[in-house]
Amino acid sequence: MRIEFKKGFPLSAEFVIAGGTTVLFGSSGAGKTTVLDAIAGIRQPARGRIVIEQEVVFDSQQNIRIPPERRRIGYVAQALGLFPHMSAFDNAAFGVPPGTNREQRKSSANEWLRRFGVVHLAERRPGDWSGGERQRVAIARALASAPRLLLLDEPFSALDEQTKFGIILDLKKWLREAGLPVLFVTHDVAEAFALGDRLIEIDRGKIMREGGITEILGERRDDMVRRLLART
Amino acid sequence: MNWQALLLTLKLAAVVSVLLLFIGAPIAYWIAFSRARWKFLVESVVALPLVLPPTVIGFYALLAFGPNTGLGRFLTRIFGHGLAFTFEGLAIASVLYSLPFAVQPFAAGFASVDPAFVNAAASLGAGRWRRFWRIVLPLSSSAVLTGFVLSFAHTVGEFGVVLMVGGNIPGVTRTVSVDIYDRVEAFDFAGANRTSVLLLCFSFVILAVMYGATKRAWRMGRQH
Repeated sequence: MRIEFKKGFPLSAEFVIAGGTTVLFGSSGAGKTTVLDAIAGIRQPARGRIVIEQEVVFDSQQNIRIPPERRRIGYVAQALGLFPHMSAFDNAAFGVPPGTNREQRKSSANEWLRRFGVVHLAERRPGDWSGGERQRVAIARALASAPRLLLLDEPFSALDEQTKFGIILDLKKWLREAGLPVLFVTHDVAEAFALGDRLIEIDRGKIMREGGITEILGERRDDMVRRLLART
Repeated sequence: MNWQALLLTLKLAAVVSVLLLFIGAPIAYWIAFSRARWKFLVESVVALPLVLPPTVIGFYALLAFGPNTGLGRFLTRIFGHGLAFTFEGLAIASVLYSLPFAVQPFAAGFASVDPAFVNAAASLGAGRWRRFWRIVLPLSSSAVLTGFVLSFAHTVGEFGVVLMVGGNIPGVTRTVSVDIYDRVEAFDFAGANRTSVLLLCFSFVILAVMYGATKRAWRMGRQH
């Protein structure tokens, strides 16, 4: 992808997301969420080109603007956007691709809730859930939509460490099986190490570095190890 | 009590408020989510009945329904007769007159839906229509109820437009407000009072139900 925002936010980014989990790393205000919004189709860059699996979903020169509903991208935004008037089951079933019959839709939604350990919430609405449960349902719902790319925008930032790494372990296990490419936004070194394979560092709207996690964050690894040891 | 006028009024209000659900909701959706620079012009046109005398709306509706306009000829072809002094004509004019009472609450309700829900629905593959039916409409149901009830109550109480477009034909266009006017003109103050008390109670009950339902919906919303 290659995008530029001019109006109000001077962001310029050009990178390729390979398989596995790519971490988009940077401090608050670096432009990480803007990049995800552009890929998901929620915000339109002023210029650029975004290609997903050989399909051009945005090209300012050719005037291609595929709407978000046709991009097949799972997006777990910071706000999560869990529908408050729907149960966990209905939230998960909402994302099941059209064309699946009633029974398949039902079993698919239940299966995703089960995989992320929240099937017990199937009949309950978001008002009753804990922070960790909300994250799990949001991720299950995004994956139920059979995306070709998963975007995660700091989904664990509000959780305690134990809950956070519990979800990351479940997610990592499933991602290893499915081989789904993930773009994971965080400013937390421990989260980046726990989930990521590659890392792109962004600062004030510009890509600073790209490469392996250890290669870029190596110097911060000792700090992280100390934090993990302190927890155990 | 003129039961014929009362039933006709309720029928007119029901027809108008249901029509406004279907006509007002798309206009309100556009107002709530459009980024067009000239949106304020549409908002102004929708709000016109709030400031225009009803006789002005009635006058232009009468002209528009006449045989000298394209719209009048088109409507005559559709309905098989001219619309002046008919129930259908009265219903169309009432839709115009009550438009802001439906559209403004609808638009405020739609605009208050958190964009995070709409964006989440879009990324889950829901097109515009599905986002409206499954997300925006249920999450703004109290505003839709408010718009529906307000347009119903406003139509029950209208007078100027009825008199201009409908005239005063018993069983066809004579509504309760015209009936009250007739009775006062005939010095039947007791009859006018009976109907007025009924309208007063009706208006109070409608508003109490509406405010009660809105508060309940608001409390339920906070529990999410």
